[in-house]
Parts: sequence; C-alpha cells; structure tokens
Amino acid sequence: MSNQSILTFLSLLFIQYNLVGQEYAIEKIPIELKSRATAIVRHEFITLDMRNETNIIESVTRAITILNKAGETHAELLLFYDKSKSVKEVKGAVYNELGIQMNKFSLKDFKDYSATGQVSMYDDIRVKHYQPSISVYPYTVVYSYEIKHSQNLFIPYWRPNYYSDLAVEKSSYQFQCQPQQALRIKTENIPAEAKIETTDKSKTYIWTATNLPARKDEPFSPIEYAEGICVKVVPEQFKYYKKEGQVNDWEQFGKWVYDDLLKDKKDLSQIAKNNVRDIIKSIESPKAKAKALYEYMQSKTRYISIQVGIGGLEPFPASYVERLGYGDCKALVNYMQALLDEADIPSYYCIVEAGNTKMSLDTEFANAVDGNHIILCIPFEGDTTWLECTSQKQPFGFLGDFTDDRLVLACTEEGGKVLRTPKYNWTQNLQIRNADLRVQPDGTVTGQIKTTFSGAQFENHFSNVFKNPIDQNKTLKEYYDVDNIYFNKVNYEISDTNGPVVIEKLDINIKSYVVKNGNNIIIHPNIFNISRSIPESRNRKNQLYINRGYTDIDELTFELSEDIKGKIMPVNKVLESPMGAYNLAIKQENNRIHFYRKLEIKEGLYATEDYQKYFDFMKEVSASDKGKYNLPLAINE
Amino acid sequence: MRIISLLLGVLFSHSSFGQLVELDPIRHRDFSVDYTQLDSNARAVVISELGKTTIDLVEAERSIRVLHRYAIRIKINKKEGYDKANFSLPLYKYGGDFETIQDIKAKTYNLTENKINISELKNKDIYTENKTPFVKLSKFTLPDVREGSVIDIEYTIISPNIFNYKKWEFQSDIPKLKSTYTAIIPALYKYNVTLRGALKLEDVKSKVLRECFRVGGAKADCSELTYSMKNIPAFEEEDYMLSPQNYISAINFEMEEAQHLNGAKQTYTKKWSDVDRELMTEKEFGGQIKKTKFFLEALPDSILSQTDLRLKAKSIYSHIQARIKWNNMYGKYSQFGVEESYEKRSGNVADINFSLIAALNAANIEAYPVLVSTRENSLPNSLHPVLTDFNYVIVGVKLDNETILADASENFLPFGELPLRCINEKGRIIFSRKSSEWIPLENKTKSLTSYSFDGELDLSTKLIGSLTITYDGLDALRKRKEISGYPSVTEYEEKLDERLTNISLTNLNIQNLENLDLLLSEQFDVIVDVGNGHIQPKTVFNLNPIFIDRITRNPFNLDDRTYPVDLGSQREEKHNFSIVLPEGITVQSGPKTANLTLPDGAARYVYKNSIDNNVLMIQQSLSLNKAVFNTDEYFFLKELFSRAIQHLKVDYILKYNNE
Repeated sequence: MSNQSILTFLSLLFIQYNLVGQEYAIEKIPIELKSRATAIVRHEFITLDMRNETNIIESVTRAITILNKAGETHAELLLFYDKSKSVKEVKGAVYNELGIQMNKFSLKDFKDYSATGQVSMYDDIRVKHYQPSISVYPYTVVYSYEIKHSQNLFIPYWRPNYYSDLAVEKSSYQFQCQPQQALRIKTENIPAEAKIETTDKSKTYIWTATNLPARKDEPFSPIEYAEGICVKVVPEQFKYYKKEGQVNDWEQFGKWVYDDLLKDKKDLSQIAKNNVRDIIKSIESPKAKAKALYEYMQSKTRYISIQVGIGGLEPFPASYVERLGYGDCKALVNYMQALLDEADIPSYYCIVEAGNTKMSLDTEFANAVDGNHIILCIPFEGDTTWLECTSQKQPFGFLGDFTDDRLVLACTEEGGKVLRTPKYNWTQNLQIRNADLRVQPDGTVTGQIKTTFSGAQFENHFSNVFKNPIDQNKTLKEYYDVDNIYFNKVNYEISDTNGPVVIEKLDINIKSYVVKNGNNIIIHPNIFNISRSIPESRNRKNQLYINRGYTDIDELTFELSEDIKGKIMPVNKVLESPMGAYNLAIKQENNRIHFYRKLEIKEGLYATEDYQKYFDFMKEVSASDKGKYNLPLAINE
Repeated sequence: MRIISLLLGVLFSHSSFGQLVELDPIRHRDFSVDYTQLDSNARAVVISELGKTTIDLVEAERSIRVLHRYAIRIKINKKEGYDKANFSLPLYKYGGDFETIQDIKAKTYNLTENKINISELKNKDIYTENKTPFVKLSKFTLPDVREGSVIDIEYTIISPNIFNYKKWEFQSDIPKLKSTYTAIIPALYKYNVTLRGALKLEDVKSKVLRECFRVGGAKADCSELTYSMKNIPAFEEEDYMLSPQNYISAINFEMEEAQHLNGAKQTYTKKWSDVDRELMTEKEFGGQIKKTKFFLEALPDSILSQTDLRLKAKSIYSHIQARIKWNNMYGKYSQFGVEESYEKRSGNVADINFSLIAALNAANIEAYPVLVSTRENSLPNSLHPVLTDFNYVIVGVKLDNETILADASENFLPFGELPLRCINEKGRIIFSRKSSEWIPLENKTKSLTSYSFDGELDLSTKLIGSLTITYDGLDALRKRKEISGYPSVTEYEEKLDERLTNISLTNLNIQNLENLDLLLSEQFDVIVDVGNGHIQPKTVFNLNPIFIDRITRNPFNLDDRTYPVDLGSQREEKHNFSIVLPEGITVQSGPKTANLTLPDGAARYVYKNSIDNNVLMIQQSLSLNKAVFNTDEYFFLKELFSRAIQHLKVDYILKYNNE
C-alpha cells in the first residue's frame, strides 16, 4: 500500500467514523424529548413480513439512548421464543455519548434460559437475554434482530408510546403480505394514516410516529393511556399450530374456539358420569346441583399449569383432569363444564383478562391476544352464575376482584358472545367492624372485635381463615399493626347471605395503648382503620380513575375505668366529595366513649380537575383518622 | 482437574450396594397418623423420610459416581398443603456432565370407604425443564391429591461428582415424624461430617461393611453411617435473622481425604496454609492479583504520584469503583480477568476487587483478598477450611497497622465500608507470605438518619422552616441509591413532595451525593400542617412537633423469638427540632424527659426538651448500639420501641393568651 492510499484509506475511515459518531451523538437529541425521559428511542423500524400463514418474519432495528440509571431496563434485550417462534439473528453495538462505538455483541453473548415462571409448572417458553453493562451515562445501544413466527394468530402489536419514561424520536411499523391477503386492522391515536404500497407481489402498510415525548406517571390514572398509539393487524384467515380458522368478529372467534379447541374435550368416563348422577340425584334445583358439582370439583382438583405448544390455547380433555386431579384454568373449566353437561346444565367457557385492574376485551376487534384466563358462566334464567374453577376454596358463584366487572367472551356452540361479569360496587364492598373494648387503669385496652367482609372486600382476610394459629397470629399483626397487640382468641366463619361473607371475631389485648401524661390520659380511638392520604398530582393531565369503591364502617365502644373523670367534647364531622363521603362521630355517655367512622369511596371515572378534590378529601380523612383526645384523670386526694 | 485424573488412575472393579431405601408398605394407620404434639394444624406432615448415598462404579466408563436414593411419605392434611405434592428437583452440571434422575416412582393413596385407592404417577407426566445451561429441573406433581391423601415419592439422583455427598436437611417447612439418612462411604474416602442447627440427633449408627468395594482386584471396607431424627418441628423464619441455612437442622459432608490403594493419600479438606497456597497459584485468583504491572501503566499519574498513602488508597478505590461496573455476579474467582474487566469496564465482584488489590499493590500499598460468605449464604465453617462456603471476595487494605475492608463493586459505598450483603460474621484474609486469618466483617460506621428542623409555628397551625436530613453508613448508601434511581434530582424532589402530603417541600438542596467521604444531606424549606385552621385566643392547641418519621410501628412484634436479631450494623435515628412559638403562646404541658437504656448500653432511647425565650427545643434519639442482639434481648428491644411509641403519643398542649 502506498503512502497515498494509506492516507486515503485513513481519511475514508475518519469520515465513516465521524458519520457514525454523528448519528448517535447525544447532542443530536431534540431537547424537548429529554424532559422526563430515562431513555430515548432514536429510531426504530419494526417489520412484519407475512410470506405465508406459517412464515412471518419479524425484523426489528432499534437505536436507543439510555440517559440515566433509571432508564437501564430499556437497554435490556429479552427475546422470547417457543415452538412457534425462533430467534434467527441478532447483532448490536454500544456507542458512547459522542457516538463512538464501544463494543459489539451478537447472539453468542446472550444468556439462554427457560422463561417458566412461578405460577406455571411447565411450559415451553424460553428467553434469550442480553444486558449491556455500561457504567457511564448516557450511552446508546443499537441492535437488530430477526424472529421467525410459524403461526399468524398472535402477531405483535405496535405501541410506540407504551412506556411513559421512554421518549421516541422515530418509530415505524411495517406490515407486508401478499396483495390478495385479507387483513383486519385496528388503529388508535395514530399520528397519520398508513402509507400503503402495492406491487404485483406484495402489499405493504407503513405507520410512522415521530417525536413522542415521555410523560409523567400519574396516580389513579385510567387503565389505558388516553393518547396511547396502537396498531393491531391480524389476517382474517390464520393458522396456529395445526389449527386454522377464519375470524372477523368475536362471534366467529368464539365459534372457532368452540369448534376447534373445545368441542370433543368433555370425555368423562362412565364412572365419572355415574358419580355426577350420584351427587345430584336427590337435588332438585339446577342451581343447587351446580353448587354440589362445583364443590365436588373443588375437592377433587387443584390448579397446576402445564402448557406446551397449542396447550397455551387448547384445554386438556376432561378425562385428563379426571385421571390426574389437576389442570390449568382451561382444563378445569372444561372439566367443570363436562360435569354440568352430565346434569343437563348448559354453561359457557369464557375468555377473560384477569387481574385486579378491570380490563375488558376490545369489543371492536376480535383477536387472540386479549384474555389471559378462563372462567365459567352458567346462564341460569335471570340468575347468571359465574365460577372461578382454579380455586379450591372460592365460594360458589363468587368471582372476586380478579375477574369482576369486565367484558369477557363466552365461547358457545352458536358462536362467541360478549358478556359482562358481575360488578361489586361501593355499596356492596363492605367492611363492617364492631368492637366492644375496655380501658384498664394501666392503659391496656381489652375486648372483642367482630368484622365482616363482603363484596370485593370478601377476600381481605379470606386467606387467613385457612392458616394455622401461629401464621394467623402473624398475619393479624400485619392487618392490625398496633404496638403491643395480642390476639387471645381468633375465630373465622364464612357464611352466605346475598353473597359470601367472612366473619372475623377476635379477643384482643393492647398493652399500654392509652398513655398517661401527667393528670391526663391520651386516647386515639380509631385504632384499626387509618386511611392514608393520596399523593399530590400537580399539572395533572389524566382523568381520575377509581378502580374499585368500598364502604368501611368502624364502630367502637370504649368503657373507661373509674379513675378517668374527663369528658370528650362530642365530634360529628361530615365530609363530602364527588368520590366519596366520610362521617366521624364521637360521643361520650357516662364512662363509655362511642366512636363511629364511615368512609365511602365510589368507583368510577372523574374529570382531571376532580383529582384535587379527592386529594383534599383524603387528606382531611387521614388527618381526622389520627385524632387523639386528652382526658383528665380523677385526682386522688 | 487433578481430582478427576486421580479417580481415573485407580481401577475399580464391580461393586454393589443392592439395598435401596424403601418405605414401609402403606397401612391404614398412615391416614390417621398422630402429629399433634408437633403441630396439630400442620398443612402437611412427613410421616417418614429416608435417604441413602452410595458410591458406585461404572465399569464401562471406568469412572465412579455417587447415587443418592431418596424416599418420602407425606400426609397432606389441608388444601394449603397441596404444594407439597409438587416437585421441582434440580440437576446440576459438573464439568461436562449433568446429574441424572432415575427410577422416579410416585403414588397417591386415598382412603375411600376404608379402602386404600392408589393413583400412580406416569412417566409421561414428568417434565424436564432446561432452566439454564447449568441447571435442569425434573418436575412432576402427584395425581389425584386431596385433603387427607398420603403420597409416596422415591427417586435416585446420580451425580458424577465424588465430593457430592449432599447435605441432608432434617428440617423443612413442614414437620417430620422421622427422617433417616445413611451414607455408605468406602474407607478410601474420608469425610468431615458436621451437624448444624439446634435439634438433637435421635440416633447415630455406624458399622463396617467388609470388602464392600472392590477396586482393581483389591478390596476396601466401607463405613455405613446412619443418622436419624424424630419429631422434627417445622422451621419458621423470623425477621432480622441471618440466613436460615445457619439454623436449619442438617448434616453436612465434606471430603477430607481420599486414599489410593497403594496407600498414598490425597487430602482435600486441608489446612488453611494449603488452601492459601492453592488460591495464590490459581490463575483466576492469585494470578489476577499479581497483575500489578498492568495497573502501573493503567492508573493515571495523578493518582500514582500522591504521597499520602491513605489518600492514595482512597483515590485508587474511587478510580476502580467508577471504572469497572459490577455485572451483579458474585464470585471468589475472576470471571473475565482484571485486564479485560478494566478495559471493558465491566466485571464480577472478584474482577473488581482483584483489580483493586493489584492496583493498590502497584502503588506500593499492602492489600489482600478477603474471602466472604455473603449474608444470604450460611456462615463459613470455622473448624477447617471449606472453600465452597465462600462465594464472594473483598479487599483488606493495610494502612498504619490497621486493616481496612473495602468492596469496590458498589457505586455509592465509601472507602472502608461494606455493603450489607458482606456482613456475615467473619471473612478469611489471604496473605501471600503468611498464613491466612479470620477477620470480623463489620461496619464501624453506624447506620444513621438524623432529622433537624429549625423553624417557627404560626397562628394558622403551620410549622415553617428548614429541614435537614443527614445520612451515614448503610442509610446513606440506601439513600444515595434511591436518589440516583430517579432520572433527575428535580423528579426526586417532586416525588417526595407528592408523597409527603402534609408537608410542602421546596428548594431541595442535596449535599455530597457524589462525595462519599462526607455525610449525605438533604435540606428543604418546609411548610407543615400540624392542625387545621387558626389558633383561637384563649384556647388550647395540641402540637405533636415530630412531623417526619415519628416512631409509630414496632419492628419487634413477635410474642416468641427463636433466633438472634442481626441488624447488620449499629443504628441510630434522631430528631433535633427547634421551634419558635408565636407571641402569647405558652406551653401548658408536654412529654417529659426520658432516658431508657438497655443493659450495657446496648440500646437507648432519649427524649429531652426545653423552652427558652419562646423557643421549644426537642432532642430525641433511638440508638441500637450493637448489630446483633440475642433472643433474650429481643424483648428488651421490643419494650424499648414500645416505650418510645407511647412517649411520642404525648402532645404538647399550648395555650394562646393573646389579649
């Protein structure tokens, strides 16, 4: 190589280097995108190339700048795979603040492990994981990878502004397929319609979004971010493992699930069928029959999740549960359905998005991604009954806050039906406490407490019912976190009056609860239910959303010992707000203090401005809950 | 590597230990087994547990293997005990080979109409999960389990690792009526056997099995050791305790010596002097520490030219700390080597701390590796060296006849302090020229949070002033990590202000977030609501001035305590408040002075107050003056907190006399 050519080579290198450097240099990030961002997507190109129903190539190229430690999770790469999904190729590099390359990585640098969680006993999901280990911020990770999908029922959505702390300079989502391919597309909040390109061989949709700022997470925000961009694309006709189908709406989807995944699964043995007959033979009403069969199912089975391949969608047959005595939600619902079939009680296999947050199916867009759990619906005339089949303890007909008040899909012989699960509103979610207490001369408080829990509050202390006394005692000290509290007697009952109720009866002793100060005693009568204020939310953007309302009543009586002569001035405080009401009433009759507290919080969606009212309300509730009273002592003279 | 060649070098002939462990035939009485004296409410109870370990020869491969035969019978009493019917058995990789599991047999017995029904586990219902490249899980669950079921499980794990006479845990999270373990050990091998935990062995049997092991024509005797316990209560974890591994009743085996047939002995569990030498010649240990030359070139001149040794050591510590990012991996051996870690700015704990040692040595400062067993691990064996006890390495720096412990893996840790994970009684400092020594692992610095408020009360029941919170020790580490977890200090301030709803915070000023040698402090301007509305003339007003982190909860709330309380460091929380009261306000009453001390000053609660020129001064502190409290002291601690809580319930009663 001549000197001349070396020089040219070097200068070329320099130019190249400089160009790359410029591309990922931090100074090129628009200043307005840095606000509230922990990381910034510099550019992102996601392409789904559906060559045919069992060959979809997902290619992703992404450059992401990590601004600070809080953004580190966005540098992590987690590529999940299973029998229908394989990771083909990965390469990447890390650039420093100036945009100079620091290192490179490829698939061999990834760790590979099973992604089976705690809940599942066995599934076939695995993950390839890479975490760049960089100590100096900011830095930029640039990578591209390719994943091959061999099914087209589950296709990744595009949600570029899903993470609130991640700003986006540019993101694009491209879906490519054969020109004659029929697609169903749903978009939400897209900045611009898709650009569509058609050739003889292909049809391509491209959506693009630019300059999406990060935003603040606000407490009590609605479930879905109001400005969330989302594009969902699914083909009308799909293949999934060896199944295929055509779906345009939930009715067809439900029909497909019924016909292709459920229909022949209720293969109980003759012995099991005879068992069902035995159980119901002396029972008249269909509902009582269903209850007896549900309790039989609960005593015979338990929840064990094993999901391999299509097993993520298709239940094991009833004979499997009969043989093993366990199954996942799908298998247990199917088994319960088989039992009910034998009693001629029709029931629906229902797909639901379970969780404390009330998530409904997207009624406008049938797809397989919605829903993560299965429950059973029995459409008794005017008395629709819902069963959670994975719990061995849940009372008959009770769903609780895991699946309440949301739209679900019933998969029936006639097709899918969108139904709503029961709602427990704030007037039904009750916690009612009565306590009869005595204050001893040394300040010790003793007495009995009875608390009933119902509606969505049924489950507050439900799990404690079944624990052994040592663990019950430990948990009670968490529920009633009062210094020096002892539980001398613990008793639980479960009854059913208009829905299930937990009744908790405790004999307690709280040493030195009432404190002496000089010639006064100090008593804080609200021992057990002190509400916390809610965080402030300045310059709020989101509406106020209260997921689940409730009513709590605490009624306590304190019998004072003889040496306390003072009187509490009566208190009667009433607070009202659109989201709830509070009443605190304290009065003294002879040597008894009566304490009454009622707090109602109403679920629902409220205007953004209402947040301040809710904040003020809860702040005052919290302050009132902490109220203490001084009472003079009789002076022994 | 030497170990393997030794084993291959010896020719073994066929050996057999035919007897497997076997559970008794199932009987009706297993369904009505009496466990009430242990725990009448147990969710499940082990009726019988058996284990037997033997060494076996694989002739075809001319290698030996360890067979662990296991059998257990459990009665499931309640639905809460169903989880005891789920099994997830880890199989580890040793060298190139995984352990294997064989002969899994599992049965569920149910009693219906006084008849015992049997449901058997089928092979197709057993799953293998390849969890990581080093661990497989064999997973299965029993069929047809109900309340009252009795289940039997038997299996054999075959391990290619000769050392691996596994630990036998007598105690678990459910009670056991009987647990028996037998180890058959050829006389060629000698193991150290140690019993851990508070429970007593019911029985120990040992006998000699003549010529049980025939190797290359020669014969060796075996010892058969049987350990059993009866009526074993479930193990209950408690807050503020060291790793349960230290307390769970278990028996441990460590290979001490193997003997060749020609009489030559190979020692495995050695004297510390041997371990020291071995570590120092190991490439990923001593080999890394020796790379001083590399650091002589890599360290900036500005550091190397410093003359004060202590300052120089500190600078090197900060340099390594900032330079190499911890990849969250523990280890006593280097993962990438110091050079690569330094270049690529990333490494495991050993990479980082060996870099620190080599760099200090390069700068003529004495520094040595200190082996540590981390806090979630068990305490290291103090009788003889067990290298596998240790999973972490830190640095002992010798300065002015003092050994300073340092760990450069944690970003916000000052020189000379240890993170909580390293504080586990004692570590072993490995000198190269003399024998290693035990060294206590402790932080001299207290975990301290101190609140100081300087302000005034106004007639609208607001406290207005300046609040300074100062942190030291582990509290400072926690706080520095918390603040740095926010994208910016502004967002941290915003979050804090929104969370502390009674307090309005402005003008946050953080001092020494990066300067680890000085106390971390946060200073705010605060306005605090301590009542609502205005103080009316000629009325009384209640004031509880400690508006931030007043002690209201008792962390020590157990009725019984079984294990010592280990806090990891001494702790102190204090409040120094100075409040100017408005004109015309007098204090009618308030909390009295308090000074409560535990025996030997182990812990103390102090409350002092005074009024001078309308200024109310309050000093309060709760200090725990040692890191470990025994079970007797638990109730003193509980009482101390309780008294502090009661004391702080007392308000100041102020009277407004303005005419």
